[in-house]
Amino acid sequence: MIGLIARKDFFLNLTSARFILGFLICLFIIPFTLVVSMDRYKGQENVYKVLNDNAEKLLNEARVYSQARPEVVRKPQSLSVFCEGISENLGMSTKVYLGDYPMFLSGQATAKDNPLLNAFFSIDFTSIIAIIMSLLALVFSYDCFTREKENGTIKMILVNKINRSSFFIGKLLGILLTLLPILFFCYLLGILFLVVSPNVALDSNTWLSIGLLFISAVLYVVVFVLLGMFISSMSRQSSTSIIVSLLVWIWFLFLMPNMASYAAQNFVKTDLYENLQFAVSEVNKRHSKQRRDKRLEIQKQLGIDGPNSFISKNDDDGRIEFYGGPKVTFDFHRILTPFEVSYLLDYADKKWALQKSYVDDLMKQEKTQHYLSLLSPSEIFIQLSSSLCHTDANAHSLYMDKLREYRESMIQYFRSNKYFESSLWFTPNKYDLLCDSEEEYKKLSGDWYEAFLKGKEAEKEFSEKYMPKEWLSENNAYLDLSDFPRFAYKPQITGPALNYAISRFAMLLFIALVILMLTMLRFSGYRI
Amino acid sequence: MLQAIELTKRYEDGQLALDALNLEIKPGEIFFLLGANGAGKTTTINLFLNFIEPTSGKAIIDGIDVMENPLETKKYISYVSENVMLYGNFTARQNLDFFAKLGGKTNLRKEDYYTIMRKVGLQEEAFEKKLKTFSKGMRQKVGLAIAIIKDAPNILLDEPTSGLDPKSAAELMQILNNLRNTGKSILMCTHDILRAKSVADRVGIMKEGRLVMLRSREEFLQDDLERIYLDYMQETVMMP
Ligand SMILES: Nc1ncnc2c1ncn2[C@@H]1O[C@H](COP(=O)(O)OP(=O)(O)OP(=O)(O)O)[C@@H](O)[C@H]1O
Ligand SMILES: [Mg+2]
Repeated sequence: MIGLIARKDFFLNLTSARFILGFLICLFIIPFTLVVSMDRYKGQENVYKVLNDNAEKLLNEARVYSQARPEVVRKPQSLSVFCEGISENLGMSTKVYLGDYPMFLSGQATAKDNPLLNAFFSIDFTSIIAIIMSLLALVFSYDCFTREKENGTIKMILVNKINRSSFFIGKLLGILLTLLPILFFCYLLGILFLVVSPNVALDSNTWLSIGLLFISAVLYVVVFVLLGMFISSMSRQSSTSIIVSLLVWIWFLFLMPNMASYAAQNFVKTDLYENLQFAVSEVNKRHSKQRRDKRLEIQKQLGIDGPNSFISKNDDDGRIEFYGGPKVTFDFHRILTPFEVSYLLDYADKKWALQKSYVDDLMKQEKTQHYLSLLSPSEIFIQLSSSLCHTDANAHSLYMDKLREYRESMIQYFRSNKYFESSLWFTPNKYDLLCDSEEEYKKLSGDWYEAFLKGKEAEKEFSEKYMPKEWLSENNAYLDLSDFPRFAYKPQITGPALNYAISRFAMLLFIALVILMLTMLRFSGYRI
Repeated sequence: MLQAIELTKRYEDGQLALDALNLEIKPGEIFFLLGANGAGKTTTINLFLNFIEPTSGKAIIDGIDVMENPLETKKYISYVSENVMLYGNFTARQNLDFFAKLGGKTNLRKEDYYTIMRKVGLQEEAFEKKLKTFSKGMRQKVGLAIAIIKDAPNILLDEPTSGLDPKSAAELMQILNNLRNTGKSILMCTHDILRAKSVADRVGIMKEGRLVMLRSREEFLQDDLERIYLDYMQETVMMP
């Protein structure tokens, strides 16, 4: 009996104008969004390749350990083709410093108050599915009782040995039978796009994600079909139920999410990014002062007015790299480095305390928006999808956690190999290659300068004759960094991510069940 | 067999639509229920079909109380509604097929459907046409075919002749006559006194929810049924 009703509705739906229209819309829009997303993904992939190759090259060109600062480039998520989430708001790469904890990916637009908020409706595959499929679901279900009532067919059906709940289930299945092939077609198209693209490797966990993505879409469609049926069961006429359905659709799809992000931004205030920057710069100032004082102290102790060297390269993150010069410069850095490093790490911790509370605030704001949007099934669906595609705020914050862990492992690497205490931290030059005294060095560099003024040829001749060739940086070998820790993290649907997905599934299921019960209750007393 | 015992329906808005109806329609009997608009005819049928619940009293179909075991009674009734719309995107045969299967007739062939449709007088070329192209009378005929194909012992018809041309209406009466002869109980609500005279075994006149007159065939053939009907209606008009 249930099957009979379902089949009847399925065939009627297939021949209806709304089905053909819905299918055509999907047929045009879905491939279009997929092409756009795929294109964007490929673009990101290319950028990733360039950045990553560059980063690797740069790291391998280090001649001293203080220069070895890896740049980590985030691999674009292949599943972002399905759901972009906030990935568009965020940058791609981070340089891992000793003196700073990784906080954000660089390249992000800081003009936006909170990049973790998914405030702007990005038109990706999942949003399109959320919009179109919910609309189709309502379009097929809004008149499921009213139309049978208007046609008098509900009476002719219930004259037979079939109870109302069977009729109800039959109708539900009939609509699902019509919609699910469309949905399946859309996802199949998405998968096809991924499978045929050359640089996407689909491992089992990705397949798991894709499977869960589809199931969540099915649940989502079920929720909206039931919603439409509920509205139909509340209405006497199709003309009322379509208006109500459309209002409900607009409310859940557009008003609700925007109100949630508006409310989140207004009720959970975060500090201005500028304030954080100011506080951080204050800490940096203290850091610089302490560093300067230490340097002066050591200079005094060694009786010099500064570490002279033939070539030197420095930066704020403790990079000290020098070639040539007096032995006392070598001594100077040997004494200074442990202090320099401990200050860097110290102040990084101090800054992180500030930054963490800022990031926590952003996350709190994001969580608020997140929880407020749980009132809308479409938001649950989108959140679930972006979580499965690793493009949500949780995935981002997990990634940043991993980056900070990576920074620790880098420090650990330097520490356990005693590179902080090694002269390789600041120069590849051997101690005996350097001048014994300041005076000797000053004389040598003075003579070199005169030669330099005479021209290139003279300068070259002079350095070849009087200076060790290692005094020129390019004559020193690169460090062997093959054992340097590399950042290897691949987001997976396991542990918390899986739990999160399951909880969202449960929510959708719960909503579906509640509406199902309500509709059945309503329909049992529905006047035919 | 259809039985109504003190069957009463008061709608939620307080309207007393049916007032203590007592009625029994035996197998092999055609009962015509006459009455003005709003007299309570459809209400009576809806009570037998369990589409609405009685305020008090009982409706009984082949010995089974409709209230107590509604699903069971559905096996024994078929029904032709006032305004048959059916599924516009299905052909006549597809409509028939769907409802026949719902009624438990799962092993019918195309020919069986055609036979029934011929029997109710639907023109041959309409059999495989979509219902939305049908006129009201043609739809009515398909509705009738659906009721007949179920082959239930009790048939309830709510103004089935509305929309039928005179020839089709006469044919319908012939069909009902044949059905009666196979032992079915038939309850037909109508305004059509002429048809009542031709086939009815008994006639009841309903007014404001009360069965005010009940005549057997012999009785109403002696009197002039039209006059009796109008007399009863007259009273309504004259009542202050
Ligand atoms: N759902 C309802 N709610 C309230 N009152 C109703 C309802 N349905 C019918 N009625 C009232 O009950 C009375 C009987 O209605 P019913 O439909 O049974 O009349 P009827 O004899 O079938 O009339 P007609 O010849 O016009 O079909 C009418 O006064 C009508 O207004
Ligand atoms: Mg009526």
